[in-house]
Amino acid sequence: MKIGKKFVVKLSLAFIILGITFSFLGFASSGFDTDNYKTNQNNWYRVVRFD
Amino acid sequence: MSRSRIEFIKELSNQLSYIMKPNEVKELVDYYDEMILDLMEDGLSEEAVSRVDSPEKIKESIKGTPLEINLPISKKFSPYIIALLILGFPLWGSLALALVLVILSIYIVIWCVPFTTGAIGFAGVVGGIVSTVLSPLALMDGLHIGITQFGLGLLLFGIGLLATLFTMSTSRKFITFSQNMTNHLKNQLLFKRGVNR
Repeated sequence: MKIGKKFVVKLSLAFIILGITFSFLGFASSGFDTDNYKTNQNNWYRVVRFD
Repeated sequence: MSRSRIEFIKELSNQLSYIMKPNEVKELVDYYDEMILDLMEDGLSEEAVSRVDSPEKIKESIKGTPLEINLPISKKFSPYIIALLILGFPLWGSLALALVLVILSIYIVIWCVPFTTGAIGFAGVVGGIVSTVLSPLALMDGLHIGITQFGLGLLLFGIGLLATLFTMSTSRKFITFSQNMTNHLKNQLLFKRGVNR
């Protein structure tokens, strides 16, 4: 199966849209409050941090 | 349509074989073939060949490019000229160095674009994968943290993929542009000067 440029563009856009949706859902479930992210935020596996 | 692509390739190889070495002909033909295939992939099945320059035009554009440059150097070197060259080195040497550095900086500026998009692509893909894979661990700190990290991972991965694709599709154009510019500079600095003498 040959993967074309159009397919990769569509896939990337799908990832971006899904990513924005999930990020929004996550942030919404925190009550739109960055203070809720501060627990254990220095752990090695954490990517989302608010200093 | 593939027939006219093959015809184009045959004609191009035929035209170039008079002015270039076989390995150079192969490289150039491969390059144009790939370009046509890319255009066909983009949906231009009928017009793909017509979008590319004609074999005659390609031949003409390459014709002026010297493969081997033989500068006609005068065998009579007067000792005065040699002395003048040595004494004038601080002047012409620094000017030549400035010229070389200006040319080098032009190349650096040109290649900044694919380098930057490449870096964004690499960072996006790697960061996205790491963020997504580690999101179950972040879930232990809180549901919202895990979901946000997962979402950001997907977002980063998507951006990285897009940037990588952009880099891959544009770098070929940058390579062609750099080659054309190098040939042009060679013509301007070496070839034409040799002809004028």
